[in-house]
Amino acid sequence: MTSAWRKQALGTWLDTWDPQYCGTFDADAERAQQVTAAASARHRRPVTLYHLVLKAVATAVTRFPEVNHTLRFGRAVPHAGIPLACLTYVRGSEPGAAELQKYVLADLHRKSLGEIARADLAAQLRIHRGRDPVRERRRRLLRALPAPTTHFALRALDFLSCKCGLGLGFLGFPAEIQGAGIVNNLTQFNIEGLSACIMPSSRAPFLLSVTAVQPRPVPRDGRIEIRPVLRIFATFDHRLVDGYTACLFGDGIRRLIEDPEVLAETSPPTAGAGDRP
Amino acid sequence: MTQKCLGFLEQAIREVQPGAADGRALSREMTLDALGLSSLKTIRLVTHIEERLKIHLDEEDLVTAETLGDFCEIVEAALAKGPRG
Repeated sequence: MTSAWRKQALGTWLDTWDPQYCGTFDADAERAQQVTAAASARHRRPVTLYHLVLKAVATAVTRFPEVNHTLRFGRAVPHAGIPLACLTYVRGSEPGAAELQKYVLADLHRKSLGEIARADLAAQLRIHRGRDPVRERRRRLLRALPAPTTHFALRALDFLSCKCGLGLGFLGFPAEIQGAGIVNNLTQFNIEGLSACIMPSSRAPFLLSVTAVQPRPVPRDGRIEIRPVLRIFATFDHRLVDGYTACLFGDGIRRLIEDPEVLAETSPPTAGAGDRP
Repeated sequence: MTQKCLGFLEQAIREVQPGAADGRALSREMTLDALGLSSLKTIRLVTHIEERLKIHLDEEDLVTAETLGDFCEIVEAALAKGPRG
């Protein structure tokens, strides 16, 4: 059986000639772990490092708004708010039927870590229990498309929903879920990392893969120390984000994770860690 | 009913997360954070309960639940509504 995700992938990519580049940045996670533990106790629900990273990314986007754009007819168009797309893998009932599903959480820089944890759980509950009508329509449409037509159908849907900004929710392709930067949660896997590529139809300016905290050797004051390190693999669309901005943006996220007390507050962080130099 | 519900929940939680709460007995006052359930395991727990009891758990209530007692009340409310169609 071919899943809807696999059909979408095969119908999208004809070659590997695309303007993407990758990078990695490490953040010392000791204080972030303390902040999430305190937030979990305060909000009486599991608040994870992934939730803190989501807030750090949204906050960094406010400081580097050029990464908050999508492409339409060759022009970089800014988003109205700060949408971030998250991915969740829905297990299928039979082999090959698992689906990669995307959901968008908006303006997380304005939310508390507890609110982010709640919003994340609510979105995942809707998707995993099949109660998100738009995604169910998308899944049914992709499964129903004959394989040879998938590429052309996806091109047409991409043109209408992303380039023209038409809401095709009735087909499962609403305009608002395209174009958001993606923050992928890989913290449950015991892997060194994964440099992912951006699917063209996502129109995402960046894709960040957040891996689990690992003990790693880090130079500190002329000595090597073993520190808890959160490693993030980043992929950027070069048409939207140049290398200079990507470096500043990545470093801004790193500094927010290493100085996370500002993220623990409910109100949006003002000046401080992660600011534009 | 509540004790029965708590017992059922404990069994379901241990199936999803065998080492939940470090093996300690679960109580109504225990917070969801203390169980150490990730969002994916929480989803698995919800699906497991819904399939076993043939009920629909209210999503808005689920995301605001803080303790096992809150969770029990959601399950009992769904049971009172009757089985899903």
